[in-house]
Amino acid sequence: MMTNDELDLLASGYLDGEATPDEVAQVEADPELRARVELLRSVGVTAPATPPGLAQAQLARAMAVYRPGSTPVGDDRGETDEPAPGAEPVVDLTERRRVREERAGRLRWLTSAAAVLVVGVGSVALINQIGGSEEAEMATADTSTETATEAAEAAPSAGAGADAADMAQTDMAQTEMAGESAGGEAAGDGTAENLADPDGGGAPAADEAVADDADVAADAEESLALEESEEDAAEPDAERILRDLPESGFFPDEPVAEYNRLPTGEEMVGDLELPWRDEATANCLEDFPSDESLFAGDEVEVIAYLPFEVTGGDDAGLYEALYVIVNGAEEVVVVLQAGSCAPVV
Amino acid sequence: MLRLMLGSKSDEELVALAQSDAPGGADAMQALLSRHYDRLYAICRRVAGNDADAADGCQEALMSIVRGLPRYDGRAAFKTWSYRVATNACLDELRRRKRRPLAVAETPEAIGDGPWLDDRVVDSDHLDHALAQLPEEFRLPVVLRDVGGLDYAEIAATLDIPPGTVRSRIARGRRQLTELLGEGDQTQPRSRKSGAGGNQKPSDERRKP
Repeated sequence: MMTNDELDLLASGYLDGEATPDEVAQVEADPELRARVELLRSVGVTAPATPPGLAQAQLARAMAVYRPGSTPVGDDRGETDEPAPGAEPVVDLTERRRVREERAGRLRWLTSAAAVLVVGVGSVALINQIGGSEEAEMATADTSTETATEAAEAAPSAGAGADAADMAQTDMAQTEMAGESAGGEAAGDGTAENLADPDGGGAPAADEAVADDADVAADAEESLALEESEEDAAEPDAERILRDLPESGFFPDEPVAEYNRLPTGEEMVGDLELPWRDEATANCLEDFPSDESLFAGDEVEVIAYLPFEVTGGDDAGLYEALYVIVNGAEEVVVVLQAGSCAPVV
Repeated sequence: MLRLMLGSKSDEELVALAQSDAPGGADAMQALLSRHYDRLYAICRRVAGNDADAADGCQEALMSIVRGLPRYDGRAAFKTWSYRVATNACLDELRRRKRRPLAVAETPEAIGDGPWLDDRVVDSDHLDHALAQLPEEFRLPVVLRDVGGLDYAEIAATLDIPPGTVRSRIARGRRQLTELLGEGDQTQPRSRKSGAGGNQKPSDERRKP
């Protein structure tokens, strides 16, 4: 005859999926044990909800003590004391190279994307005109094309649209990880060719350069700077925003948290607390593209969304970048004026 | 694209990035904390027994995680490590105040006497009170199992006790909870107000074998 403690031990282990096969069979064959399982189940401790607004405030305070470059030291005890001061972080040149390559890769990608950005001055004027009022937004929504609806359906997240967005982002993540892997190999062999061109094409200035780590890194930076300055001369001012986006928008001091899916309108004015969002503009992305001339006749899927801030120059301000797949293949970045949903020309 | 990609990275990848001095380290740190925040808070809330202490404990835990990340070497999963930090931080918070968990709703009368309204009411009004009366050695493993979702091995690692001890403490803790919640001292489940078959499952997260 088992004691109450033994019965509880058996029932509790069964409840948690930690019972052995023999124990499982024993519980399932015994009505009293099954009843005890249900009894214990009925007092399960649930996870309470987090008070509204607490998470963001607490995370912000915690991040204020974050210091980059903290390499693993000592043992893993889960203690609450501070890390040993004065420890000099190890400078990982491989990692620095990889980051540099990532930046270069993004610059090229975004510049290419800018080239296919289809935005008309007239349409912008129209969107600017109608973007200011709630009534105008409603009218825009009424006249949205079927493609706009499809894009909008990608935003709310619960349905197939969200799944597609997730898949697309997974693909992008895999692409990035592949890039990182290639970057690691490039850094490993130490050639400037690989450093300067993560796509494998090879930059002319760096093709023949094989040197020590410092020289290689310097050459790669020079090569990158040369590319950037050539781009400066060629592109119009508006596209400079796109080109500068990685420098000014993707790195520290950005205003918002990460996105791994499109936020809903409710989140935009609530959880994410985007400073430029209000009730009137909360859902403008769901109407995207609000101007049908943007992607006339094309199938548009918004796969990612990133607010960013340009902190200097004539273009200083808040923007929102949409990463759009057109007709299932073409990647386009559309930059909107934050809050108005009006594309930037 | 850095931020966009962080959501798809594993804890281990985010930890590596957060520990490096590469751009994006802060984003990775934030992504890690954001990913686990709800659970960390929930653990603190159930360990502390009220919102105020839970908030203080959780804040301490988050800052300890950030400061202590250099010590984290990946031998335990980040989740396990961070839950241990949270548990310790919340217990420290209670000890600093030199008191046991203080439940929000003080219900001096026998908790189980009244009719059960529904399981949410049980959670919010009675559970904190009952948990506060559980000895710490039982309360922690029950909370880490039910709220943190850790398995016995992970709880053992978190609390530095053998897995067999985890199992017995959870069983005894639950048994005490049934008694504190008015269902105890009986081996048959008691019907709730809905009558026959009335034992409802309060948590959808509980798993069956």
